[in-house]
Order: sequence, then structure tokens, then C-alpha cells
Amino acid sequence: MTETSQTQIIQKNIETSKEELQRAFLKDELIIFFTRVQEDLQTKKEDLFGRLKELFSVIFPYEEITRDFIFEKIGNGEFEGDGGIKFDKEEKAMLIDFCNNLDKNINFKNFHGANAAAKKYLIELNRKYLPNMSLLIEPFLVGKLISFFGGIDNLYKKPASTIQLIGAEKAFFRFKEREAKEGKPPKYGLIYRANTIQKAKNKGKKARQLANKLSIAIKLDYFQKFCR
Amino acid sequence: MSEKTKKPTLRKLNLEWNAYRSKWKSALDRKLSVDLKGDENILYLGASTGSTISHIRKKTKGIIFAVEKSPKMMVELMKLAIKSDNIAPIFADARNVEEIKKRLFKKKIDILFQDIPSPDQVEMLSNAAQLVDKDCRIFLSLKIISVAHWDPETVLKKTEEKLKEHFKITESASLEPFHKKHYFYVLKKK
Ligand SMILES: C[S@@+](CC[C@H](N)C(=O)[O-])C[C@H]1O[C@@H](n2cnc3c(N)ncnc32)[C@H](O)[C@@H]1O
Repeated sequence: MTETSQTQIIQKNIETSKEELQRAFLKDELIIFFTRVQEDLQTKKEDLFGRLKELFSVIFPYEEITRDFIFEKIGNGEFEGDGGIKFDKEEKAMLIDFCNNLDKNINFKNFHGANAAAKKYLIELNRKYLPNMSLLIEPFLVGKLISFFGGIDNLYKKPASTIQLIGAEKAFFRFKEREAKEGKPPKYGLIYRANTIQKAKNKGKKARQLANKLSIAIKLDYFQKFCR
Repeated sequence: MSEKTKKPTLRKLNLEWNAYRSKWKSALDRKLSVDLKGDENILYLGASTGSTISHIRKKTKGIIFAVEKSPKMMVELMKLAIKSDNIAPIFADARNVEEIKKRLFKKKIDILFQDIPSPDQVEMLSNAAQLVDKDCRIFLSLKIISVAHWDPETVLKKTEEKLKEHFKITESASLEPFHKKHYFYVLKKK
């Protein structure tokens, strides 16, 4: 009697957690993926196994992800697994198309094609899931911000001051060390690369304004497109 | 046997319950009364990937209710739960006492353990303590620098004042050198 009820309690908890976990995987995974792929391509990294493994571990959370496993799924155009994130038709088509640029060792065989696909799909995904952020900065920077925090559900809570400086940690610590002697605190981090800042005369002021707008845009996107 | 073959492999090291990787184990090594009798139901808050739970689960026939809120950690915990027979994974915030209550199915909890570095560690623990009876053994692994950036003595003093509002502190010890700036408390509900 007690034995079965113990088993039932465990089973119910496993089932419930499995369903809830499935809903907790967010589509920003795909945005992070195409962003990091672009970085890999910039540094001429050939092997995409690690990258794809990150993505496949939310598509097939309960499977062991090997090169063969990935190659087989890519070959079948299969991007849906037990308890994993649910991509729509469009998103699956993106992955199928992108993966055409890989060989059976999960290395790039067509750098140019892969880069073009990653760029194009990052733009499309940004439009779809981050319409407010996309109005303010380039798709790659949107992706960098999200990937820096490991997901939009970490990013949306951050204050503007953090968004302004993120990616400038090195400069910040250098400043801290020399504080007494010389130097000014860094005014901008990652977002410094944004077009609007590059064009601005007073870059510090512009960075502050942009960070303020971004912190609002991120919250809007999160609550409109991601909130469960 | 040559020197070389005697050396433990990395795999072996990972399988052993290691005080440097587990606060529970280091509390045990510190001679705190955190050992198991063998039939306890445990509510474990901050389960992470289940590295401590993978050892604890062999020491009890009861259920380990394992609460974790990070999806990435939870996936690993789920895999462990699926291949074990006494882990009930709960994907929830440890502050969500209502949800956790539902998931316990009225089981009596014998040990409540919390290992969640956060400024509100004590509040989280006293809220969760609603779910257990007076005779429940309560363990807290406190990460001093996560509570506040004051000097450690002040943090401990304030923490203990707060703890005493809800609990009796029966034992306590620093977890150095296994875990830097960590303190462990064995508590009972008042
Ligand atoms: C220090 S680790 C726990 C390590 C684990 N006890 C072990 O020994 O194997 C803390 C864990 O608590 C989780 N966590 C943080 N805040 C939480 C919350 N509010 N509710 C539940 N889990 C939380 C973190 O994701 C992390 O996995």
C-alpha cells in the first residue's frame, strides 16, 4: 500500500516537472544559437558540435547528445523531442536550412552559406520575438545581450546601468585598480558597438539614453512574447 | 600494484561523496548530526543537478523532494530522478510554498535542508518550515557573502538573531576549509 503511493507521488512529481520544464524552455535559445554561431564563424571555428549540443539539449533534454545523434536528427530534419522545446514550422525550417551547411562530423562545410543563414534567421527571429529591442539596436547586439546573460529571463530584470556597462567589466576593474590615480569610469560596454552610439557626438550621454530605452524595451518584449 | 594503477581515476573521484563538492558531506565531516537513519522523507531546497542528492538517496528509503528553479539544472536533476526510485523532482521557486505543499501529497517531512545562497536565505527557510512539523530536523547551509557584504561576524550575528525568531539552533559550524565563507546550522522549529 505505502509502497505504491510512494511510487505514485514520485511519478506525479516527475510528470508535472517534465511538463513545466518543457514550457520553461524559451525561444531565445534559438536567438542565442544563431548569435553564437556568428561569433564562431567570425573566429573561423570549424567544429559546431558544442554549439549544436547546447541547442539539442533543450530540444532533446532526455537524450544523450553525441555527434552521431545530431547527424542523424539533422539528416531526418527532426527538431522535436520528448519533453523538449517546441519550435514552429518556420523555426524548424530555419534549422533544416542552416544545418545544410554542415558535414557529417558537424563541421562547417560551407562557411559563407552558414553565415548568411545565421544572419538572416537572427533578423527574422528578432523581428518575431524582440520587436521592441530590435528597433533600438542591431540584431547581433540584441543576441549578444541575451546570450551574455544566458537568457532573456535573466536579462529583463537588469537595470539600465547594468545594460549600459555589460561587456565592459575589464575596463571597469582596470578603472577600479587605478581609481585613486587617474582615469574615468567606463561609460559603455557591449552596446558601444551600436550604430546610434557610433554616430553620436556625445557617446557617453547617448549610451546612457540607449541603455534606458533598452531596459524598457527588454521588459516589453519579455512580457509580450516570452512570459509563461 | 604500481603507483600509477593505484591512483584514483577522475571518474572514481566524481563518484565518491566529496566534502569539497557537497555541503551536506562537509557538515557530516564536521561532526554535525546530519546523518540519516534510513527511512526519512527529505525536502531538499536548491537541489541543483542533484550531485549531493545522488549520494543522500542511497541512505534513505523515504522520498527526497528536490526543489530547483533553474531549467538547466532541473534537466540534469530530472534525469537522475527518472533513473532513481526515490527522488520527486519539483521544478519551482523555493519561495513558492503553496506549490511545494501540493507536490508533497501530505507526506510527513523528517528533514528539511536548504542550500540556496541568497540575501533572503533565512526568510526562505522559515517560510518553508510551515511545511514541516516540530520534530523535523532542519539544516541550513549559509553562504555568508550572499547574505550581505558586511564582515562575516556581523552577518553571522544578524543571521542568528533572525534564525532565533523561528528556530532553536541546536548545532552550528563553519564549513571551512571545504567551502569558503559557508556556515552550517542544525535547527528545530520553536
Ligand atoms: C549552491 S547550489 C546547490 C548545490 C546542491 N545543494 C548540491 O550540494 O549538490 C544552489 C542551487 O539553488 C538554485 N536556486 C537558486 N534560487 C532558487 C530558488 N529561489 N528556488 C529554488 N532553487 C533555487 C540554484 O539554481 C542552484 O542550483
